[in-house]
Amino acid sequence: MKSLRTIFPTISLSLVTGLVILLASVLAQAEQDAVATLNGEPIAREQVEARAALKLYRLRWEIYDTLKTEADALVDERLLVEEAEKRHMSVDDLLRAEVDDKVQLPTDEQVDEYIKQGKIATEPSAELKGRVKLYLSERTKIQRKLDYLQELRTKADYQFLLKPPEQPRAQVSVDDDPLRGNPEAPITIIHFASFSCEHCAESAQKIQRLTEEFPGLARWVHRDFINMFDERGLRAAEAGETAHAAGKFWEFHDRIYSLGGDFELEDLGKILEEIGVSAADYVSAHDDARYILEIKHDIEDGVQAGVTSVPVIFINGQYVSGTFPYEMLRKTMEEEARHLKQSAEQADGQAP
Amino acid sequence: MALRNVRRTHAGAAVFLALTVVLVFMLTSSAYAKDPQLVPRRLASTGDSISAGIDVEYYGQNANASWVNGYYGFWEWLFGYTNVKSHNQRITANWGSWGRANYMDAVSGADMFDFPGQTAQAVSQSAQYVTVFMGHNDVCQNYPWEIPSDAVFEANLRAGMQNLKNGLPNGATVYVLAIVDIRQLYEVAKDKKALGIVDCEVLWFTTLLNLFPCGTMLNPLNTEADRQYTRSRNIAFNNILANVTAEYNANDPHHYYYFTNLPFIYPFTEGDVSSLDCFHPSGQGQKTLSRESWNVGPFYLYQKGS
Repeated sequence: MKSLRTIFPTISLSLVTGLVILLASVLAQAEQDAVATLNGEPIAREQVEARAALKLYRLRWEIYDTLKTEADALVDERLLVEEAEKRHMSVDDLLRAEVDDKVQLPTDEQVDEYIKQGKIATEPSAELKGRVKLYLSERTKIQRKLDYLQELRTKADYQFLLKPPEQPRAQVSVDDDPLRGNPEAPITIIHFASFSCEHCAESAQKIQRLTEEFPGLARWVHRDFINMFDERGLRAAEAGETAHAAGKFWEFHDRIYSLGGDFELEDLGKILEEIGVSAADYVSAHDDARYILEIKHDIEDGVQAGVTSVPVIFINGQYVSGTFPYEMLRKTMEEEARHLKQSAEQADGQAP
Repeated sequence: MALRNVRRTHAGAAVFLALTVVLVFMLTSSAYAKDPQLVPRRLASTGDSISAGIDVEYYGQNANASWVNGYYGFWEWLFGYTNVKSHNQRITANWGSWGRANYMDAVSGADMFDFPGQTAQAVSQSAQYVTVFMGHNDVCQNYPWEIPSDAVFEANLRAGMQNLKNGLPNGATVYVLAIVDIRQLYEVAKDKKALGIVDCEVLWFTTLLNLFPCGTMLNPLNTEADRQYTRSRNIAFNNILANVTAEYNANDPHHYYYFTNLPFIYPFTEGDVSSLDCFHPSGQGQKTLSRESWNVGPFYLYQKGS
């Protein structure tokens, strides 16, 4: 009995001590995750990183890429040194034996034949022949060295162990901008674009194809992004806002993009009239700069999300350049749809 | 007697030493000493589209964003463009705006064949500080055999340097920068694609008349050996730039010549290249170029405005 009486406080004390240590470590972890404090309140790393997600992603990529490049170069150097040691010679001698001595440099006849075959010139000058000969000779040597390094690498067991960073999701608002498709759709496609840009017209076509291939799955939002000297882009954005106010934005959108970015300022009024929007409204909206702040707001949101040049498409916050081929956009959509399905299944499994 | 002899010997030695010092001073001053270096109030840039500020933050010429001639005023501030803190801005920050002139003789598309013409222009402007950032369009050709030979490249460079030697005011400074490592562009394009920022090949192919802007490096049909060959020409031209600059500096008592290899060795990254064309420097790239080249340049001691 007496021993129990002495053991119990010891156990209690140990438990309390354990709890205190646990709490301290949790607090310490929380402090570690904070990048700053404001009036004693921590500002979490997550909050700050979310604001600069794409910028940080680019920096992390730079680190990853630099490490990979340097590791590859280091491995090549080591393989050469090891092989040279094995053969009791210097690296220079090894390269001489394996590269220079094994290369057959082009003859004058071969140079003439190359010029003839490639239709480089009908009557080549001596200077041109010299340039072609230098190119063919040097390229042959470089290729032999590359092949030799590849042979060494194949024999060795080299693995680069780091994984590339994952692309983050940007927080992009749809604002009160024109929206097409089911407003409740689980995937939001935001297109930052200028009506005057050829690539934007192409990326709009790709989005159109996506919405047709994944019916009901996505809603499409257009947001303006133009630069200081893009006067046609700015005026077209104003015309687009005028059409939006009249409930005819997407008619305007499809009509102007059918021109592939190739239009004159006077075409804008005509296009508006064609779709049943008053051109006079557009002129007065331009004169009193009615939509400038709205357009500026779009640009600011784009910059915040990491847009520097258009077209850019965000698929549920995932940044994809509109210059990428359709298949890549399609793949991102498929992954997003799969991700949503998995999340829904997990939520169902957890439901009581 | 012995003491007298010793004194005589000492006196003779002193006279000999003094004469030697005077002689050495005269020789060195006549052969190596230069005219006093001028404050670089009158700046002229020679070069290509990089110095001309093409496609930095919007399509076309962004003269405000040139690493050498750039400026930053109300409009640039209002539209949120990058303040590149160019050499021009740094000169004003260090020596004030009195007597300032800022000439952009660099022209988009120029190569070493254009150098004599551009230097003639800088001479006519009585420039006190001339930057030379030329050769990118010599390395960048449609096909590898179009890259000029060393002899042709050097002859054009010498013709331009001779113009500067003969025509610039005494005490003027010539600053020659190495050609950037064009190979980096290829790597940057890969990074931009991997990051999802932009597909550079699409931009190159569609925006520049279906011709790759630097076929010798960026044409997708190139092999790795082709790219390494182009890089070897890049390095050969930089060696010529370095050697010729050093030679002029050694032999011209009236002017100062400097060379830096920094643009070649600096690890420019994806963010330093414009996403508008995947070819020219971005605002960040121009800013980096200005800062880094100034910090190893002729006036690095003057750091105001950096």
